[in-house]
Amino acid sequence: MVLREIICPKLNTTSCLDILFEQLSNIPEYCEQVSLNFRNVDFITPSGALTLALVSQDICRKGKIILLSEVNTEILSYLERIDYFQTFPEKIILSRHNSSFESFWRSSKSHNLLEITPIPCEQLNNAYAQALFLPRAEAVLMNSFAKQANSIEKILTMISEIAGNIIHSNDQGYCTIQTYSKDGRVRIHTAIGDFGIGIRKSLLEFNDIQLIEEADFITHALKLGTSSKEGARGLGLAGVYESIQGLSGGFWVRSGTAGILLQGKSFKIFSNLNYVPGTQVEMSVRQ
Amino acid sequence: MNLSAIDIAEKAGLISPKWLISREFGLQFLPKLEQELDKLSINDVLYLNMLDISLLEWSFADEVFGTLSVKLGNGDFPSKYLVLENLSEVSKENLDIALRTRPEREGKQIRNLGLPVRQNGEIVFVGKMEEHLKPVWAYILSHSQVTAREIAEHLELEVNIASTKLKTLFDIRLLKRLEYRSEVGKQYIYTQI
Repeated sequence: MVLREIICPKLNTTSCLDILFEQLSNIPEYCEQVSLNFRNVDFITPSGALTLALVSQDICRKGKIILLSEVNTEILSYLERIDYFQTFPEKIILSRHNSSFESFWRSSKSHNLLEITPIPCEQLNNAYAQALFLPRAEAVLMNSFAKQANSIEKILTMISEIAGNIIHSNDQGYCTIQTYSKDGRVRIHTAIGDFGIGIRKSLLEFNDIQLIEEADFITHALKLGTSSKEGARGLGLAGVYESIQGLSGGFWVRSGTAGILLQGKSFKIFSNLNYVPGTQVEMSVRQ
Repeated sequence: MNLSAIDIAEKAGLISPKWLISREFGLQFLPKLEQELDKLSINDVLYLNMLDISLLEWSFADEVFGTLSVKLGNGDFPSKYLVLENLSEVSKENLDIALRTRPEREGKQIRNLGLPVRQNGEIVFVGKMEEHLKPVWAYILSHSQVTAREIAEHLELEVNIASTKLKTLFDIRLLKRLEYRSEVGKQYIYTQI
């Protein structure tokens, strides 16, 4: 068995996807097993869970097996709670060091997180998936944000719209949500993304637009929507841009080599990032 | 006629009828709603009750209510009216985003497009309306019926200009219009729906 080890970066930052994807790109085709070493991982946020899901999907699609090693018990337990093992059945094995974990496996459906949820790109399946996971997402949000029905509805609208955008990506995506409480205040983190065609290609497919920079395509999608040629389509990200300004928190959208961070009225552009396929969105809302 | 959006969603086969989400489900919902509009008699109003809807997301709103607003504005379902009621604040905002931005996605100039929404017994307009029509609309909301002459006097306009404004609001199905004959010829009275 030809094995290649990747040292997994901390899975609690936005940049973890860049780092992990770059390492993944260096894995030779003939390698049959990829070992993800978790010795640096002590906390996983929704963006980390999304990163893990997207990278694992990519590895599995190449016919490789994932070996998890040096995973601490809390992280293993968390991976179980977010349905990581169920999402990639029979594709993930634990190193000998972690193999006793099986006896601690517990059920998912936690009250403060939405497990890694696959979102298909086929239009009807995408709608069905949303119809199933949005009530679950609502229950998670209600648990923490019960007195803020308007905020919950806004967040659900944004999640639904971003999840709906995955139909333009030509690839399956994932969604995950986690709520955190500290000192009586609640934060909701959401990550949704895919390794599909990305915003630039999606825009060029449906529009006659003359843009060059990757960040300009994201800006266009945020301010004007993703398409106009097909009449009614493409309102998603533009609506999110309008809605997020009424909430307390931040919004990060990344596609290709660029990313944009929205916080209130501030709009920061990040160019020349490492290339990552598809589009990934993170949203953080505070109570 | 009063209808529940949840009932229409069930008829349309939506698996979670309280969740009005995605263009796909919108495409299933729209023909069922259009069937109900077809059944209306002339000058009848369909009140679509959105109570207990968990979410009306803007893609769905665009696919159903954006499309329907365009059709109503083009003269489809003549003399039949649609009013949405009991929308949550966020669903109303989502509807507004969908309708206000719809003309850009139509790829042709549409100056006015929207739907009346009844909240707590009062009618409000949601969508895109030209500024010069807003005083006319505001006047109508406080009067059960008006004529072009009345609007002309109230807003200090020529009668023909007032008449054009009223017709525009009638064309996007915000007003009903009754025809009568007077000594000066054919006249119209516009009423709230």
